[in-house]
Amino acid sequence: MAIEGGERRTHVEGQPQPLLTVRSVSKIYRMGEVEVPALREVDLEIREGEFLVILGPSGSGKSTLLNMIGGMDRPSSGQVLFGEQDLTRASDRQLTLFRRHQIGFVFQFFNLVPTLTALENVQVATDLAREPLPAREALRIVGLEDRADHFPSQLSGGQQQRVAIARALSANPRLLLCDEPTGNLDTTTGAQVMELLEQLNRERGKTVVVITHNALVSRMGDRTAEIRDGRIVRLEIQPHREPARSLPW
Amino acid sequence: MRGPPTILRSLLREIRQRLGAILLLGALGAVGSGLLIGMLAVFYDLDASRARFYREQRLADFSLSLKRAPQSALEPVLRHPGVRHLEGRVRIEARVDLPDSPEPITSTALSLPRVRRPVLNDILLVSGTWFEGSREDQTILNDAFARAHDLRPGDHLEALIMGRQQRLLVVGTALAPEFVYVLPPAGGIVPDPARTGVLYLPLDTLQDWSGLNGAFNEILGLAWDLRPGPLRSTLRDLERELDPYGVTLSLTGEELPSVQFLDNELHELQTSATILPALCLGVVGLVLHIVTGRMVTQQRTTIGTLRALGYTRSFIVRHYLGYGLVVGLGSALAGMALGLWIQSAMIRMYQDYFELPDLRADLYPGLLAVALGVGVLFAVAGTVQAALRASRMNPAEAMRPPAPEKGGRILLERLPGLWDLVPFWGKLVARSIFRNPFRSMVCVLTTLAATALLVESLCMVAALHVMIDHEFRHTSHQDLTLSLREPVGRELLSELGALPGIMAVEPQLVVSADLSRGAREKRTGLTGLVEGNRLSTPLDQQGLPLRIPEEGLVLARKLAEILDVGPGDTLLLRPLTGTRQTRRAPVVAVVDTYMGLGAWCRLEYLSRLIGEEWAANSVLLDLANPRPERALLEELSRRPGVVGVEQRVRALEKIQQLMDQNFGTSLLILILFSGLLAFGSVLNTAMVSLEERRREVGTLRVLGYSPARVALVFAAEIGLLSAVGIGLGLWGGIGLVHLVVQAYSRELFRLPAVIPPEALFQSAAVMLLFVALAQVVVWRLVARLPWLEVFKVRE
Repeated sequence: MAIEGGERRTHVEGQPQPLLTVRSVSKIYRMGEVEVPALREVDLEIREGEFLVILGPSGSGKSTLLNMIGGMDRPSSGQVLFGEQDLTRASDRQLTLFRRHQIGFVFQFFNLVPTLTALENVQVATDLAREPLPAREALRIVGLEDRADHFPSQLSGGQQQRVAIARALSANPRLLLCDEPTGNLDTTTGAQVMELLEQLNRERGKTVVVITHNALVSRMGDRTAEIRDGRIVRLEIQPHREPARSLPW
Repeated sequence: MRGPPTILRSLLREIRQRLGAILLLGALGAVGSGLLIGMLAVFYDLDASRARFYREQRLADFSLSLKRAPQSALEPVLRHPGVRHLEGRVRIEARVDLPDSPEPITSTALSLPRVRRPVLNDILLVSGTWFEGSREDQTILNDAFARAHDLRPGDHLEALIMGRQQRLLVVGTALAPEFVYVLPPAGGIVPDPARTGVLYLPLDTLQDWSGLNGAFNEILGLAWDLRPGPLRSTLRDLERELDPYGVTLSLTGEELPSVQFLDNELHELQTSATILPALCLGVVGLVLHIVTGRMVTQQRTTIGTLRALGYTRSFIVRHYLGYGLVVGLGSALAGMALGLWIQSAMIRMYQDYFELPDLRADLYPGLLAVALGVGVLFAVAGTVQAALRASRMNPAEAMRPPAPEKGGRILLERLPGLWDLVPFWGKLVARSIFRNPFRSMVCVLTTLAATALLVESLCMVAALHVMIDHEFRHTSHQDLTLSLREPVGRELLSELGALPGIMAVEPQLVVSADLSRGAREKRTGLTGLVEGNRLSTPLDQQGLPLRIPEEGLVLARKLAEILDVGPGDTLLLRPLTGTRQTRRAPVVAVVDTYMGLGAWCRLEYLSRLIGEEWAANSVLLDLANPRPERALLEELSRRPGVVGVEQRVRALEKIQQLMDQNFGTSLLILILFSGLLAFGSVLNTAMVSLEERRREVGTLRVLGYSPARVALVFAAEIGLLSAVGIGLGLWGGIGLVHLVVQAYSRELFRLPAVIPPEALFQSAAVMLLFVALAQVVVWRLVARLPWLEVFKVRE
């Protein structure tokens, strides 16, 4: 089984297609003799082009869910389907290729390689991509072209996160997965990062999934899935998305 | 992927950040590869040059010395199925008188065909020509001797051959395969080209002068089967068949002293070329194992991110193996340059040492390739475990902060009373040591190995000094030794004793004899001593004088072992001179000695064994002035029976000169080698420990600890580990000395296991010095650590 990505599928009758489907996924961690359930029978669809917010307090299982969606971990039971491809049955190599071509990750702690410049950190992703954005173009999009030769230690937190977004963007993935992207930033910088994600979703049509504990973020999204104790307790559709700029951060 | 991956730059920058540590490791690796290349290349050079020389000049497979064998005696022997070829030649002792040497030089005259044709043990002309015409008075000299006395073709020299003074014209100088390592015929263990003359003369001339017309006194031969067993048995058959012609000595080619010395040297080279590089490269591998292990732990988030970005497991493996590859490749390349330098330096040394025709430093691409491969292999092997661990990390898991490091209680903590007594910093040190057992072990093991190596080298030098002192100061007290061509009676002694400047005269009788018991047999030299011997006082290894009984033999332990005899046993003894009749002789005592396979008895007893009433064939003289006057030397050497006059002081000086020349440099190199080994490993251990405990360092600094006090914690850790290593290394060194002494117990010589306390002190001091150097570097690293950063950066 090969998971191929690249071209966008056409929308049928204007309805967004499910890009990725999570079907009764459970994840149980075993710590010695104790079993700790992190996810319990979670069902979720991620639709092409949407801005999905997964909201929950710390320890609710939202990062675990993101790991399942991003092909970073395997569920204990249930299925994760990308289009028609079953990720739960994919080999390690297939999952690696899936992440390489379909997913762009943005992490709470930025996870830049400290010994590489901003530009090189983006190139780490474009090196692998089939149809990458030029790394400088990705930096231009996030407004950091003049910081291309700076090392992470020479950048502010917000700038580092923008480099991370440029990196996620540059491989031209279909899905951007953002794990607490503002969790380590002050409110002003956080707001700027959220605006950037909003812009990528609106102007470039990227499907964006944001994990957050900040309820305010859900006002930006098309939908919000609220997760508690490993279960999705609420799934809400916003008829009217509010622009990030207008939110009281 | 287009071009080299960007992440490669991160690898290169990390290497640049750790450049000091990596250069140190690289230097260690380079020394390892350099020694491997240099020593093995020298081994190949020597081995090839020797093999070529032996083959082209047709070194005989065996030789037999006899009284006199006519040409006709060779015919039946040639039919022996084991014999491929036989040739006869004449070998006699000669005495060369040169204006630049006060005493005559004991030399060997050897025959060669007058008209050049290939013979066994042929010579290779270095200068001049072969014999010309029918002149009697022409000679070809061994080249080293000619060089030492600045003799050239066209020069003349005076020689006493069979009692007749001859003025000889030097027509050429030459090298010979049987004299590659030229030992003086009068004895000694170091080459002394100036005292080692070999004169080649036309066969008919030498036969005429020595009264051997149409006959030979030495037979050289080639055998079909060169395995030691069959060759030895062929030789025994020949000895029996030629017995009527008075066989005095039979040697296989391998038993020639020159061949043996060269063999020994090659063997030692090969051993050193294996052990020293393995030690260096092993340490490089172990330290890289620790360093990359730490690196992977530190970079787990980056590894997770790379995996999340879609980098494969095999890419991660290759990335971390890259460190090993860079260190391995870099050090192997530097090692090549070093190795080629070592090779050319050692070859220059050997050119002085061995008389080989085309001994040169050749290039061995295969060896370079193997050394490159070995260097890379050790380094990459050191990174394999870390690389695999990195690749096995699950990306999701790698992104999470690491589980708190295992902080379980160490064994010491379970002893509450004791633990409470340990000061705070001591607890830090103890925990760091016991929670990283592998790292601690590597630190201990490398200092152990380096110390043991140093102890062993210093003790070996001490052993040689003891051996030389024993031979030249404690057992020999004569100033001069006169060798006589034929055994003489007591008259000569009183004659010599009457000469001015001679204080004492002591005769000796040295006879070659076959000793046997059952199937065991050995040919050796028996020394007959007079009662009340003062000038030659053989001692055992305890320094006790040998008491020689009136009847019976005292044997060196090695000889007794070979013959499987002990005191009270009886041997069969057949002297190879005189009546040559087999007698029974009791073994009275067995003693430990350093050199040769000695056997001693009373001179009178030995005289009777060879059918004489009283005989001596060498005379020891005690002089008023240990450095004899020229007039006395000339007076002594004018006596016709005298074939050699040797000064003890000169032989001793020659040995000491050689030891000073060679051991000084070798010891210095070894000290640096051991030091680098200890310094490199200790410093790397400390650096990894420091990196791991940056937070701890930061905390201590915040609490107001000065850099020096913080460094003390690390100093204590390294100090403790290296102290254990050095302590164990001293024991290990002592063990190593005993092992080496056992391995070097040869027929030719045996080394004593001497452990002088100063060797232990010196080794420990050198090691401590290098460890202290490493401490200074650590202190500087602690002082420069940006400790406030530690709290800002999320690890």
